[in-house]
Amino acid sequence: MDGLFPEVIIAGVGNELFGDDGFGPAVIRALSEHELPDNVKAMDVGLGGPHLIFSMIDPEETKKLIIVDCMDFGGEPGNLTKIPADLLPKGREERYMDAHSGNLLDPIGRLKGKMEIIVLGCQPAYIPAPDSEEFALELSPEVQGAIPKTVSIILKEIGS
Amino acid sequence: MSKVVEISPTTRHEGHSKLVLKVNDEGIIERGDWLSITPVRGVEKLAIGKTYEQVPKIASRVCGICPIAHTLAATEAMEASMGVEIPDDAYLLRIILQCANRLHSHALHDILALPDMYLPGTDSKINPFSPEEPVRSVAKRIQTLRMIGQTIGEIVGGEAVHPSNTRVGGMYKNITPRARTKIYDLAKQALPLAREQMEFMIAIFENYGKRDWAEMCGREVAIPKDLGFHNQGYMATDPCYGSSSLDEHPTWDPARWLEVRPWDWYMGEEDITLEDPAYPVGGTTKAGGKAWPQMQACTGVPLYDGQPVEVGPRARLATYRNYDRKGAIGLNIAREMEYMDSVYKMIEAADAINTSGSVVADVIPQGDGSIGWAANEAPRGADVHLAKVRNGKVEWFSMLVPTTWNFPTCSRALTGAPWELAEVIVRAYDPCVSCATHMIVLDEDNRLVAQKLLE
Repeated sequence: MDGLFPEVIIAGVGNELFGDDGFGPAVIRALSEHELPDNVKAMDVGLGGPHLIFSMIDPEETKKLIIVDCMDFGGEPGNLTKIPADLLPKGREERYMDAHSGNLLDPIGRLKGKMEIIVLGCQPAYIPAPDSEEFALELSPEVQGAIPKTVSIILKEIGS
Repeated sequence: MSKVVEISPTTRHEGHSKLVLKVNDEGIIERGDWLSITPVRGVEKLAIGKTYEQVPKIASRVCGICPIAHTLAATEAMEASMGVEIPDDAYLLRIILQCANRLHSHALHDILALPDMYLPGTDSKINPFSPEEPVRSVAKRIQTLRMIGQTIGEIVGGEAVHPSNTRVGGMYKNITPRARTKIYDLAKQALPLAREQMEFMIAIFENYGKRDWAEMCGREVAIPKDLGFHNQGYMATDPCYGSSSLDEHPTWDPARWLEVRPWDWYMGEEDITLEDPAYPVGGTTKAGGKAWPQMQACTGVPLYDGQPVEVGPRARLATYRNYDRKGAIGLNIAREMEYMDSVYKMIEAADAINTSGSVVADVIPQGDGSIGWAANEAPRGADVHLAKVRNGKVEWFSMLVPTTWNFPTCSRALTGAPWELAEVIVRAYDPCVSCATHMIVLDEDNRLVAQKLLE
């Protein structure tokens, strides 16, 4: 089927209502200013990444998946990290629990070994707690500043 | 004497909820409370002072499973408040978007419901991720249906998840003749798959309904023939799309809606006196603790004509097509019956659309603070948004999402069931309890998961 996913997928994950969690969608917007090769698609998958998108990718079609997300890895705000999927901890493939459990690991676990998967993570400065009733529609300056660097890393990854 | 068991969190749906169940000596539920423990969204508060273009985009981000319904309901609530009539071709595009979302969402539901069900003729439960046949082929079919729904959603909506092509006044862009052909081709590809999936799932649900027992917690639990029955009413606004206050004959009436506090509805503080470590996944809450649903519930309780009502596929079929199957099995079957309509509606709309037609209203008034509402028939039921817009800014906004309507109704439907099957009832409602942010952080041992830092 000529469907959603070509050979290379760049998926921006996150919720723009929660400050730096909107990093992934913001990177996809920035990428839209670049002409990408025909076999590459950049997608703002927002809140639906793990279960709407990653559970539908067909390894027959897609050979490379680049996931862009904010990630607390103990760096300074705005620092970037690149993680091959092999280094990610195991998901819970054996007990599918919840389509909203907020975990990338289950669907990635099912795709591991079937395609190249890279996670580009940015250390957030501020993400309001979901139960705080606070929202932040803007990225922090540090994370905003990490976007051009992320775009250039992605362009290099896809050989563009 | 009654005992109290708590299942928290409930699983295989979207969001975070729990069940507090008062049961008799035989383990039959005398009173069940199903409540959201997902933190309050607060989106309504955030909307105040934003522009009418911003708020539908914000509403879309409340959920990754039903962003299309939230986008459409919020956009149309703005239009209803401002008195904006959209062109017919824009409406047809929205119909396609709606049906694409329903096709995808119902297929997702099948994945969530299947692990409760059995392969006919065996006592084996169905794990849709099993590599073995015939389950593998079913999973592949579900995946293809979801892919088709999402692809059509992307063609019409601009994005597969959070559509950006919708706008107050219509749509930003019409589709090209080539895109229309692609929608048509994809929908035709979906037709035989949707029929096969519907027939397969109905057979699976019927089979479960005829079974005498289900294996739970390592024992056989009797399945009552009235599993999930309730005597509440239904609320649906359209067989497919929805209604708004701009309609000549609106099918929802805000005067019949009342929202009460969880304090007035749910159980008070209860001691947890029954536990079962064998309950999947990870056992029930340990005995000795306390549950306090009226304090812990994170949603209001909406009533229609003073009563909780059911929304969703069965409500649509019961209201518009005289469907009368009750219980959890009846609700699951109703959902399957919507597969074919979703696909045929897309084909009809694609046929009818004029790809050269304007899809934006000629005039977009900026609003005078009048209240407007729009009810979108989301996959899980009526998603009602209400708004007041004045001079382009949103003064007030409210979202009554489907599962908010279903929480109290489903709670009623728990009575009489064995407590071990309470989640089977809850899952029949295809709950979408709402969502928040997420991150991946560290591994199981709290170790940093990173290969290297980039400057």
